[in-house]
Amino acid sequence: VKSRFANLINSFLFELRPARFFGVFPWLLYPIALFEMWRYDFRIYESIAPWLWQPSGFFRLILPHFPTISSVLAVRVVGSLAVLVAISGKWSRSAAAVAFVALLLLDYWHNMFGFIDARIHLVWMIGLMTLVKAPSPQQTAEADLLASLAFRCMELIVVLVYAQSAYAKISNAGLTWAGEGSTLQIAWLRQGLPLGHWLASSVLVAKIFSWLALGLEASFFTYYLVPRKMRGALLLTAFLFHTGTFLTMNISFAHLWVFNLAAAFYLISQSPGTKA
Amino acid sequence: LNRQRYLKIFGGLLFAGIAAAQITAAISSANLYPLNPYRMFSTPWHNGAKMLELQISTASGKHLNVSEVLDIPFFQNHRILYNGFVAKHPIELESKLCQLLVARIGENLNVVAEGVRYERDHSGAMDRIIERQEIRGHCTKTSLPLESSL
Repeated sequence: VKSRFANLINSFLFELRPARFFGVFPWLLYPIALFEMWRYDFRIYESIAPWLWQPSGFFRLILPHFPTISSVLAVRVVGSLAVLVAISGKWSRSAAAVAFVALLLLDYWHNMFGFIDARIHLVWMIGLMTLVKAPSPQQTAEADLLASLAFRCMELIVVLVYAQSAYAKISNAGLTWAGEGSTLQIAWLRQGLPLGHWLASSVLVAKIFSWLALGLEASFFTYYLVPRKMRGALLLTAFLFHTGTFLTMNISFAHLWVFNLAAAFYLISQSPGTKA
Repeated sequence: LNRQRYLKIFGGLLFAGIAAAQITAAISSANLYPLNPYRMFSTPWHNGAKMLELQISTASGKHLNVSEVLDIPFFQNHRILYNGFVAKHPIELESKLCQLLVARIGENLNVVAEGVRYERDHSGAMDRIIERQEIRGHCTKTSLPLESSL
């Protein structure tokens, strides 16, 4: 039994061969990382930092002070160069490691203003790219093993995003969250988009979409129990979910839907005998 | 082969570590950054939501959206984010914001704080109701410690 379990884990984590996935995914992921590195104007943040920046968590111990603008600029430049090197395919793993550290620093400095965002998942994805060698005709067994591991870890992070979101809603309010629908209705109104404003005028629509959202998120608890094509379908549905949140609330987590789309097509396109 | 074995041990630990860390963060209410679970929009508001929102106008009576003045996400999303911060330092926050805004656009501003309630009306449509409204202060360009840093 022990041996069968070990074989199952081994096969699940290391025998995926996701070369086709990693032939496409870095081209989608790295531009998002580059955009995120330059997205916010830290010059303005510097002026509000003394009264709004409150470091917490692990980083508080090692980086307790808000950086100078020149430090931020240096991290951005180094991180951006690393992303460009990683995209080029040369030294891609070392470059991904540098980009990961830069992005993690920028995310930390930004996050400690109390922003609600899910960009940390992008940071982990870039970190996991340090395991992935650029595709080549002579792919070694070790490179295949690590690429498989990277895919599985990214997949886990994305699955947990939805599962955690469902858990947070259910633990806060139970099924009332969806049955009542007002959380989504208020969010639509407050986010200020015309489509969201219009949707907020109907309690029935709010309830239907709340059930759909919670149902989708909760279905990720079963992700590893269903066949791979079903997993692909779940990821595609999550992609549609993000399209909806973008159109009605202007909320976009590009790294999540990019992964969903690429992974869904990869999983669905695998032949029946493969272990994806 | 030995190297591959070690890599597999590392891989197994990495996968298990990510799962364990994220599950711990999801269950814990502490801030464990960088292990942040995704909790957006999970707060139940079935009794409606109350929050403080700021209305800003110039001396000539023109109403400003904060995001028109400061093009950064913190202020673009101020209605959501203020709710969190206002609970900690309401007066200090509004005063600082006032100073920051005046420094940015170079004219005197009036800041009105509104206690707002989001609640369904009789038809079920979500409504924004102003419960209270007060002028929090008139900050002038002369009291601007932040101006130089902008």
